[in-house]
Amino acid sequence: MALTKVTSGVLGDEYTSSSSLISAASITVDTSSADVFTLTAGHSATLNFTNVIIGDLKTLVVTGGGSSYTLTLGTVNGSSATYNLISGTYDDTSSTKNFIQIKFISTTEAWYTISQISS
Amino acid sequence: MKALVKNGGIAIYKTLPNVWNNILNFRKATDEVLIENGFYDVVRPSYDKQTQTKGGLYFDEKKKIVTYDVTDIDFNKEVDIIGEDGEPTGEKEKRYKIDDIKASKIAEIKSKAGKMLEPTDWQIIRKAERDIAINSDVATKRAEILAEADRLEAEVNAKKSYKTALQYNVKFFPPSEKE
Repeated sequence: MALTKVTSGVLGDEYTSSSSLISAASITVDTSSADVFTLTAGHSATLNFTNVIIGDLKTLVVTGGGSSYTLTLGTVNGSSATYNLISGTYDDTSSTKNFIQIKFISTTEAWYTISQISS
Repeated sequence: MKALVKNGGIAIYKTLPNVWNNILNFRKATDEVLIENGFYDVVRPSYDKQTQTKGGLYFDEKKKIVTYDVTDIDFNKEVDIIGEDGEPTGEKEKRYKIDDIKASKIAEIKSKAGKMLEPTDWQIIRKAERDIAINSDVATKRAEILAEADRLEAEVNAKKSYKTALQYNVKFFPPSEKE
């Protein structure tokens, strides 16, 4: 019996797509819609994650706005959550890309890292 | 410098944390965001170290700042006189004695006058030892210094409170006030 391989072609958008987020004070990040989310900060923003399931690993690429904007990790599926920073520092310097990887170990807790392009 | 006011306590932060309450780049957050999270400016009050003391930190709810309590020193405070046996005698005396501070200021005046006279003291010694006349300009200058010292001493003695005596600034030949 031949082995059945799962190819990328059969994976859903949450594993294969990229979504461009629009800067606002409050931004909904629908984790079922993409694997990678990009954002250029134009506001101090709060990211509220929806449709999160345990085990989700999402990547945010946030480009700094250069105006000391903050980025708040907000609710998960509408409820407050704990975010544990593993390493890294968010840098809002203009054009600086912040690579934020966030792993949801439950729907109330996530661990994340922040990295920038090595100069 | 900022301070976190939380549960009635105050914690000073020389530098703000980069992450606070899931807010990234918190160090550069606006004052509005900082205040929402309990962080306020620390304001160091100006105060007269001679007559006031700087106390502990407190949160000024009205001004939305964290600052230090400044208290006027009570120069009329009385303390118990301790006897030779180490026990209070039942008598009291002023903690801050005006005579003490006046004596201190007068000693300062004499010291400064002595230093101003010192460069020409040799002429006085020469006069005493060999009866060589003191230069007239030197004599004039020395007389001015001594007269000024007397004037300052009289000003100190005229002080009626410890505080005003303490605040008296010993200064020879101050520039005359502008009219």
